[in-house]
Amino acid sequence: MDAVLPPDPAGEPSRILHALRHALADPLSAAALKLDLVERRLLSPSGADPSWMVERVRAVQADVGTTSRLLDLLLRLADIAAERPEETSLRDVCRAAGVPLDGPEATLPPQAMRPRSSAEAIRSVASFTARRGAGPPATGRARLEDDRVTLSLEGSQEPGAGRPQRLLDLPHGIPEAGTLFVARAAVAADGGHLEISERDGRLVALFSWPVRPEAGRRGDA
Amino acid sequence: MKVLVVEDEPRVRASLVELIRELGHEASAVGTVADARDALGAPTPDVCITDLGLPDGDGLDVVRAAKAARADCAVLVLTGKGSIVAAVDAIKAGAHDFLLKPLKPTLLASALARLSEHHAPQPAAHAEPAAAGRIGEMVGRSPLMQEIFRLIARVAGSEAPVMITGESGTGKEVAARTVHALSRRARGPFVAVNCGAISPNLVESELFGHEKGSFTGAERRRAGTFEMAHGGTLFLDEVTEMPPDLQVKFLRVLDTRTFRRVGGNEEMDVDVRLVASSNRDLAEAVKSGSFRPDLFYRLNVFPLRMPPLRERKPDIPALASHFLSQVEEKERRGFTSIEQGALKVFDRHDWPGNVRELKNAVHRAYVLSDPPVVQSGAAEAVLDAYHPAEIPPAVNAREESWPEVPVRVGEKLEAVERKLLVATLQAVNGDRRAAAEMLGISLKTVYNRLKQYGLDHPRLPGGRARGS
Repeated sequence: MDAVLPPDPAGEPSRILHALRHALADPLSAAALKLDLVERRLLSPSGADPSWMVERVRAVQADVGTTSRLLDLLLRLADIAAERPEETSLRDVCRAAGVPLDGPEATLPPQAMRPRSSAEAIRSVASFTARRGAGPPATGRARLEDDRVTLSLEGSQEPGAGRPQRLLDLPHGIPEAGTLFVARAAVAADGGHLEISERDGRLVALFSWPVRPEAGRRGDA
Repeated sequence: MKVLVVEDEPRVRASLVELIRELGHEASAVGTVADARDALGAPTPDVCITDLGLPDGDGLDVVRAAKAARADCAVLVLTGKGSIVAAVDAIKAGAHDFLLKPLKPTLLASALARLSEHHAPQPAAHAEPAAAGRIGEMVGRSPLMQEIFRLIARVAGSEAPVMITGESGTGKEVAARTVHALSRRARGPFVAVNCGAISPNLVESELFGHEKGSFTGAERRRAGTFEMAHGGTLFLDEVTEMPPDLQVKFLRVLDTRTFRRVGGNEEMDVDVRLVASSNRDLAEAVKSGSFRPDLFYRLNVFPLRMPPLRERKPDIPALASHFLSQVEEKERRGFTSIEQGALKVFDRHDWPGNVRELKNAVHRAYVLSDPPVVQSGAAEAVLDAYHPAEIPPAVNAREESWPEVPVRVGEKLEAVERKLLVATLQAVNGDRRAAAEMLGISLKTVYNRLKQYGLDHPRLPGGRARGS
């Protein structure tokens, strides 16, 4: 299920953990329900049909597999938290991610970012918006706006049904859901925000990070 | 029963459907709000189990759609531990109860069993309490009470926590018992806890029980309050008096619906409906920091204010008659009615002690009257003997004529409280109500303290109460 997000003074990192906790509750619920069912059948006078049992056991194994993958995400969030922010520029991070910046050279100030996690986030989101890596590469456009640096990635991927922003909430049936979720967490770890929206029938990702006011004024060529 | 599952996660959805069918119900399932709206058309299910987060909207939309399609469709909301606030909102919107994810199949099974057992339409007496002039043990035809009856009849069928406020003696516990009696848990236990009277040293053992040998004196396993109330209703009386430590522990149980006995390893599921009461202003208690806002939010889902008797004087004749019947049933002296003159005397009184005071006054007038009617002279005598102006607490507490209570530095607060209580009772000739007024606590707290200190004995100063 999707996370139902309460008013949260702790902000985006807390909301991310909240969403992961909700995602974990689903396979655990499914497994608990199936195990209860198996127990009832085993205790019933007629007993349980072996093929029915095998089917349920395999389904529980699938739930365990899902749980395991979600726990891997938790470890990846821990890795992000463990990486120390460094003074760098978005241009360098994009370069490391293999995402060229398009348009006129923007003045980008140095900012504190987790370079490895941020580059990975930009790379994975760029790949997803570019028709899951199969379409032409997404182009990036960076801007300095007051106290924020933004990066817009416009790809060729067409949005599916529902709100595109849901893609970041660990939705069911999206293979890259975990990767996108980790990207959202990486951006949030540096105080930033990631949005996915639709523009002219294409997916557009918008990254946004805060910059110190003095850094914004000083700039970086 | 016909059960509709609204859950977007396919494996949870399939497992729910399979288990519900295994439990003997008809089950169907959808994954979106839009499909739920369609499925809630004819025939509307008896029960709708919905996730709160759905891809095309909010589970609250499903709650509203289900209630609109069929008012008695019971909606169970599925939610995560971090979304209790959303779950409470769902209950306010009409959901019957919520179940936490990861789901505990036993809790789901018991919720469905209760709904199934009581799925038959409510008895006519419950459906039209206003016409009957009473509901459960509550009596009244005044517009205020008619509204209270309507609210109680409405909330009783749900699992929503109820917060009953009102002055001492207005009948908060009677209202709580009525909610329980009309609920699907009526066959389960009703357990009342006075939150201000639990000894701090025994809080955990009292609430959660203990295993044999878990502490000195724990000679056998003992069930706690939660365990005793399992399957029924837990009434938290004077909830604002709950110590802060206990509020935290309580909140944890409410959030997880599990607890452990003291000294135990087993996590136990708890299935209780909560009804709380207070004679204090709850919002003020939250504002002053003495009551946790999150606990307030959890308990205050369905607020119910019991009006003081002075605001519902038209109910006095019916109430007095009701109490007379109760006394006559026990004492059998041949009383049949109350003189109009006596009722006029009662009507002139302000009833600071509310319905409880009226009940005591009727009993005393009964004792003073000759059968078959309670006479106005007896009513006058009773009310003349008790007049709140007799003991204005703020003035009398400062009177130099009252004896002093010696207190040493370092003396245990409990011992000081005991001494003060005994001295106050002695000063007012054992009148517990007067003592309560002077000490600025409720009468119920006086009773509880007397019990706590082993003073609840007829020969001791606190052993009798004026007016009873």
